[in-house]
Amino acid sequence: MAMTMTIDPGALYRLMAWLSPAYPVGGFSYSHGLEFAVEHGLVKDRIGLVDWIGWILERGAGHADGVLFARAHEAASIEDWAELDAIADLAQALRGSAETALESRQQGEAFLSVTRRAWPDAVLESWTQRRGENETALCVAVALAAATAGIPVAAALGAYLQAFAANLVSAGVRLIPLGQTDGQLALAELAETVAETARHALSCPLDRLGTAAAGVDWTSMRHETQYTRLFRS
Amino acid sequence: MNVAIAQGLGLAAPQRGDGAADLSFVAADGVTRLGRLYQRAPCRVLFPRPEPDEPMTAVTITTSGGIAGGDRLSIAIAAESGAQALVASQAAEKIYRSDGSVARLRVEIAVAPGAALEYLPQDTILFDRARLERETELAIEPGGRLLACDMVVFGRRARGERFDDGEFRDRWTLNRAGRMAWAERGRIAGGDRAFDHPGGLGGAAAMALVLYAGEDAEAGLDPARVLIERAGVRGGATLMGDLLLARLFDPDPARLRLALADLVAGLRAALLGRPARPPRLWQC
Repeated sequence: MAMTMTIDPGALYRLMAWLSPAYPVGGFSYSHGLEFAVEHGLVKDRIGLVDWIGWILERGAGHADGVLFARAHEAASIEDWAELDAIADLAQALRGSAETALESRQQGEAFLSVTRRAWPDAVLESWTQRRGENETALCVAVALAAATAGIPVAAALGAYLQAFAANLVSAGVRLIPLGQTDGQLALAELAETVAETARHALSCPLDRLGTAAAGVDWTSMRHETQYTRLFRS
Repeated sequence: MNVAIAQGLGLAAPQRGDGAADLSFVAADGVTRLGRLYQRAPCRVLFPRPEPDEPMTAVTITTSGGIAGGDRLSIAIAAESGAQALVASQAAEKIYRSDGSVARLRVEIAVAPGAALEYLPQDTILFDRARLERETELAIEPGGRLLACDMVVFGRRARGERFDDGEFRDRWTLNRAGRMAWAERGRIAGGDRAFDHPGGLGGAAAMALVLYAGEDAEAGLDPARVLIERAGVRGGATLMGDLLLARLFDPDPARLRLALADLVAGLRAALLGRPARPPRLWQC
């Protein structure tokens, strides 16, 4: 049975703006360890890239951030700020290396800062005040903005994970390197994994979240001492 | 009918273990002593006389020899202000195959300002068809230091066994001054693709983690990287604020054990000024 999802044009417009690679959160500068995985020969071609990103989606940060996103959207929708605080704390703590922590924290802060300017909203202001020194991971920041704007969780989460996958594909295109068409083929080949990761996250309670991406964490740790680097993670 | 026969016929629920150990270390005039101690079978704690250059040492024992499905074990360790102590385990923790019920293991560690605690248990061996949910909660106050390690082996590899069925869920939470600073939520199922996938365990049969929380954690990063490189196993280290985190993997659990022993020994010396050796009980 196909799931139908309605989203009003205003909400769609925001969602596309926020998750566009042109939104200035600096996503292009992060590879989530892919730069080392390519250098080390773990990812050599398009098939390898789809397999690697697919793993991160299903069993790594895609799954973790997807569950955090879904639960954060839920908490923000019912204005349960204490619960959102707890989710935001877990989201910023749930990082396997210094660079993946930076990736999620820096993009989250940049997202909140530009969204507060371009799409001002009292909820985003009070959230920023509430958090004070405590940073907000990207998945929680986008979930909060989407919930506040009344964007349904299924659409918002699907778009979030698509943008995450597209960013890694784009890193792979530069690193392997691949042609632009091969990059788009890779993204098309990841469509079902993105959809499945989102579907699973929507129904996964926070205490059932569980990753199996030790190898991805390892590439990110090793990236810290890689000799030449284009990416910050 | 006796209980064993009744169990064999499936007429009685098997006895479940519900063990606990709760201990604290306190310090006065630069001397560390035992504060409180509570133990309930199958958990036991012994206090062997440490070598002259080692701190007060506690050794945990699971007297049942292992943990079965449905068992619950809880270990709580507190190092109060200024205390210096080492907690090790007498043997590897065996998690037996389960009839479907889940074994639960909870470890709670609290380190007060000025205290230095080492929590260095031996490996946890998941038998095929084991089901384990483990929760480790670490609370480190400012000025407190903790060196901890963990090693998990999937299946009894020496006899050719793999972890083909079962499930392992692992939750780690580190609180610094009451705030969550680092967390991990792991899940691996028996026969999981994660065992072979390079983004998962990449062919490793065992994995290890070493963490050090303390304001001087940065001093451990370079030594950790050098030791990992020298050990010749897959591994890496990272520094997140005042948390140093290292991971090691290998297809051969015996080789991983040696690499972990070298890393722990090196970090004990570099960060805590202890002798550069693993706890004496470790069988490497």
